[in-house]
Amino acid sequence: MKIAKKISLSFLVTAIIIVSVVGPALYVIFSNILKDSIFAHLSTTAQSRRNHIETLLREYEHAGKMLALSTSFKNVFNENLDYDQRMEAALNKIETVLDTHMDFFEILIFDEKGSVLITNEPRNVTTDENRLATLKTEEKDAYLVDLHVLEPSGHIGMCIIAPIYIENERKGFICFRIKADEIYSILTDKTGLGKTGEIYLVNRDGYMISPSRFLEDTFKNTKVDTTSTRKYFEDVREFGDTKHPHIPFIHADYRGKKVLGVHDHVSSMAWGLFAKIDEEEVLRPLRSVAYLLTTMAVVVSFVAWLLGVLIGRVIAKPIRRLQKCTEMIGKGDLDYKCDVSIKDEIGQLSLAFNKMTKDLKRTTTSIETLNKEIDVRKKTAMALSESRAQLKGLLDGSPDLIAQIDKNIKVVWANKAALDLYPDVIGNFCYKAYGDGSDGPCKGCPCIRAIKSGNIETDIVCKPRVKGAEGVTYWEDIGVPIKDEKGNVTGVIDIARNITLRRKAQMELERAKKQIEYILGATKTGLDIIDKDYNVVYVDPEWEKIYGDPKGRKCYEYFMGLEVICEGCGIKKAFETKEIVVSEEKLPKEGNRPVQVTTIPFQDEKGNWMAAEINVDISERKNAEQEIKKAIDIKSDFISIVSHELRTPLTAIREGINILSDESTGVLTDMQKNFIKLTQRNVERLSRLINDVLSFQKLEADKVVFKMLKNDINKVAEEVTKTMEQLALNKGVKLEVSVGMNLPEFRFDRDKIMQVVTNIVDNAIKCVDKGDVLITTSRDGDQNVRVSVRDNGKGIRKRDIPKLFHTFEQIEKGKDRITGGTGLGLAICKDIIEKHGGRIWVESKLNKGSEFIFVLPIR
Amino acid sequence: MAKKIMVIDDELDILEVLTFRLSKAGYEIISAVDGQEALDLLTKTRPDLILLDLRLPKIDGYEVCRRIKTSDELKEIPVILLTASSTIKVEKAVKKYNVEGFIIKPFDYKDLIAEIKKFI
Repeated sequence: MKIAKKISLSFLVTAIIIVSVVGPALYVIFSNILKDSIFAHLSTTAQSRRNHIETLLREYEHAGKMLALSTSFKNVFNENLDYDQRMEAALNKIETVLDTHMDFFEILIFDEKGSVLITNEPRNVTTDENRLATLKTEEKDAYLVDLHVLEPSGHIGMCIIAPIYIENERKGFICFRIKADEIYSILTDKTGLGKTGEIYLVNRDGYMISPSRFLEDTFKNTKVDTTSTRKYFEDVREFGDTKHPHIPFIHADYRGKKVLGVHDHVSSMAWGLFAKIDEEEVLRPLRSVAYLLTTMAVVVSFVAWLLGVLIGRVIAKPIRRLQKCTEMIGKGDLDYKCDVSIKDEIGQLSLAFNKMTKDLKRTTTSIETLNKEIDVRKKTAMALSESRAQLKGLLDGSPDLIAQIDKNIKVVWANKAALDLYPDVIGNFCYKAYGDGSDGPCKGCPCIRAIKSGNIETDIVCKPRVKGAEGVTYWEDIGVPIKDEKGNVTGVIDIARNITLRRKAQMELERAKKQIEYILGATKTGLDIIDKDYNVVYVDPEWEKIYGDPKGRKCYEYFMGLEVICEGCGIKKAFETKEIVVSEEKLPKEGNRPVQVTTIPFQDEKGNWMAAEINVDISERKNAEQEIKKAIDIKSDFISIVSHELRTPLTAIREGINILSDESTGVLTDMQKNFIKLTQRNVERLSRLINDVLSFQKLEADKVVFKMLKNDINKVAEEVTKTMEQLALNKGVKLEVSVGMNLPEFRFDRDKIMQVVTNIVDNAIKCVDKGDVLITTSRDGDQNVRVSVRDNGKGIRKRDIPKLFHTFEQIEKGKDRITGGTGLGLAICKDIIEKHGGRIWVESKLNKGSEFIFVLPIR
Repeated sequence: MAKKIMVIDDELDILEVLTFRLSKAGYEIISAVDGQEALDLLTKTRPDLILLDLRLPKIDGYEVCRRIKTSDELKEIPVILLTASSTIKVEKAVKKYNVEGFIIKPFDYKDLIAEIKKFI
């Protein structure tokens, strides 16, 4: 190995050793500092959220405790008071509590056995809370039940259960159901948690009980078994409710991703609170440090190597020169002089060597040198003529017009393409034959500019008249200056290329683009294109005016001002499904202007997935929807007012006719009686219609309070039979009732169910001519009671059945039309039964009869 | 001696049919067309029962109710509300002012008589 190489190699090795120790050490120090700061931040965030949640829980518990002392609730158990009155008072109180405590949404009162006495949610009777409440034996004011799914609404929430005492005896419990929304909003607040950080709760069984940033529908569906949860449960065993050490560490989370995490403990509910953030996000800033360190290592190594090479050279150069010198002279080159510039030992040696060679040379002459020179010249001349022929062939073969022009812009030479178009060009001024036909140099001529500047110049020239071409042609004209050996410009090579087709295509494209952009602007339609990493690739100019330059910006930040991808992002869905997604958005940067967004996924020429979004302005539609809603409200109010206004004159008419019909004002003739009956009939019908319209409108607007109290369904059936019997008899119809044995009392609104049965029986009687109508009550499985009204009347055509329960639908229009019906009766029935959580339907055969059936859940 | 009923309603037609009906049934009728007139007549005539419309000119039915039920002199007289308003509103008024009963318009004469017979 040569000396220089040895030196440079040893420099390089030393540098690499130093760099490979210092670099990683620095990296480790930086990453530890970064992690420590994130850990500290996570710990304080987790602690503050825990404090927040604990305060909220304490507030709930306190509210429950205080409300359980309310007299209205206590009176539910006071059997000295009238049943209806105390239940109604409790219902009113429930209404007030729900109004004042926004988080509360259901309230139940149940006795020691766990059966519900009163609630604002009629569907709600079998619950876990009552069972849970009685399981707790310790005497406590109030306590919270852990988060669970609240049936039947399906909300996730918790309950406060407080015992109700009367004179130191526990009578039962009150349960306040609270939606988990408030707790979840504390947890899901993403402030300070970057793009991947999140906080979630895990219950004592290790299941996730709060929303996750990454998974859907996590509630008790996701078991979290990570080093962090295991450590948390160890801590719970070791420290119990006392303060945990909360040591943060790096581990794989439930997605298997490496995260920096810390756990905390909401001791009152035995919840583990986990705060974590992806390691990848935390270490992202370190990546640039690593790049920097690597680059530095490479540079340092290179510099060390370079230094080694230089030093090696300085030392080895004179030795090598002397060695070369001896070699050259050895081969017979007597002209060679050894370098004597260095005044060291080697320099002196060279001096002696030179002297020796000089003496040797004087004796030698050379004829060979001359012969060699002649040979070289011959070869050069041949090569020159060959390359000239090649060049000419090349230039003549080109479709571009190529010409050589001298300093006075006269054409010296032109290629075949140029001569074909302009045969007499050589020797003329270039513009005369070649240019735009004008009587002087062309405007902006690149050749003249090239002659002046000495640089290559370009221009696009429009030539109105070119032989053999139609209309205007466009040319790209390039002037390349020719220089002599001193650098002076002696002429110029002019290359003109016909770009008419390209230019026209470009102009066409530009015009089409302008048209589209005009249309988009005029219709307030926005167009944008987003790539698969959510970068904005294109925004139409109108939008760009509002939102600014989209370059390097993510769509959620650019349009919505968000840090993370929007919830329910249509682009994401379009990429997943590869199908067009239509959604509605509000643009916060444009005063929440509503748009309908059609997201169209497509692949670009390289096969990358992109999404085009067409954003159509729907402000007017939204306004119209608002207007419609207002109109519906006005309609509803209008119906209510008009119906009430109609009642007053109706009262006077009815009483007036009744007085006449009683004959208290004098005896009537048969004819007069006949017409008075007719009037009475129609007054009754009008009055029924007004009542039906009012009650249906109230049901529809959800303004009816259901009094869900314990009642006997058989009594209802019997009572309806009693009141309707006479009406049936008058028509020659036999009305019978068959009540089921051992039917339990259960909760329903007695007046409303009575109204339903009466209505159905009334219809049945009207449909039957001299037949039977039978009311039957029976048990329907464990959960329901069934009531049926069967007749053997005309029956209903199959195609009419679906219309039956709709408003203002009466079957058999025409002369057979059922008289006196308002068309609202069955719609009202359906609404009442469904609000009870039941179902109503009809089974019928034409000319055989119909059976109307409804079932109610036992509560 | 015939029992006295005061009928308060601004609808003259209704006043007329009621007067006719109740006179036939053997009651003595005192009628008033607004709250002010009713209150003026009340202390003078001391009826045995009051039929009261809620929507009245000058002083409305709710206020008449309140005055009757807060006056030591008049509060014992049974009041039956006679109204075309919705059931919910009337029930609220009944509870608030401790009114004895109510009938919704359009009413059935038999129901009205039955309601009156409860008290006198």
